[in-house]
Amino acid sequence: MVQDLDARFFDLLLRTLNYSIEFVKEPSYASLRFMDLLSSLLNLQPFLKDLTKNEFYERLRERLEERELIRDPVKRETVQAELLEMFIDEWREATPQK
Amino acid sequence: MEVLEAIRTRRSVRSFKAEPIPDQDIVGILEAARWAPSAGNRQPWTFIYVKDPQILRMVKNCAPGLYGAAPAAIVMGIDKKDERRGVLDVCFAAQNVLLAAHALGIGSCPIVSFNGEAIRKILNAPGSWEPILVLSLGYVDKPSSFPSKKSLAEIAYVDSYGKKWKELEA
Repeated sequence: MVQDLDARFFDLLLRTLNYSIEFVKEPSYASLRFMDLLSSLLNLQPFLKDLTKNEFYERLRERLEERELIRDPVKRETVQAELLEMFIDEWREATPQK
Repeated sequence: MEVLEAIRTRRSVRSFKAEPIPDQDIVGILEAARWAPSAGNRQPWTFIYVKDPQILRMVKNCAPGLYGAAPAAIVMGIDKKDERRGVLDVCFAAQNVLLAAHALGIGSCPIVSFNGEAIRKILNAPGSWEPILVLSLGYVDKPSSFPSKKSLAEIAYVDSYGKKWKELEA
């Protein structure tokens, strides 16, 4: 069950990031709003005591701390690519055979 | 199943049973893709059958358009240097996949809303490879409703643009 919560939370964050990436080229605020949602979800993580990837989530939070980076669409794209890489690396570490 | 019947009755499916698809059926579906037409017979495509639940999970995370818990997917891609015609070739192959799957009683849905870079990394594909389509596959749980389609009279003309053809006026 705990493992399930871990996977679900991880998936929810990654999906939110991908929604943000999907809209990054558009002139609307959709991409920025999804990044805000990602930050909010990450800030919720310390209250979810059963989660185990705490160090990973801490690293994500650190990367998202500078909102100026997220506000600028060009810089946001770079941060998004870094975050995506972090998610895939974390997934590979958890499932080393992949 | 006759080809025209398969074309008429195929639907994009977004609700799947967890039941796995036999490998031999997937081989048959991929074989149908292989026989699709290709400009200059270049066959620039690569098909990656994804059945590992962990990899499928990650593909789903990076494909917002992938609805439902499909037990399998085929990711169709090309080498970036073949992009101009390769995309069309993949579309031909994809239609073969959709029809072959339908003929075998398997539901499917073509998805273009995905993060290509993420999918490429998840599948360990080289930087020169670009995913064009993700096709979800699985046995149908809830059948999709019949969509409304424009009439032929609205979309087809004879001899010149806009010239109505009385054969199409019902």
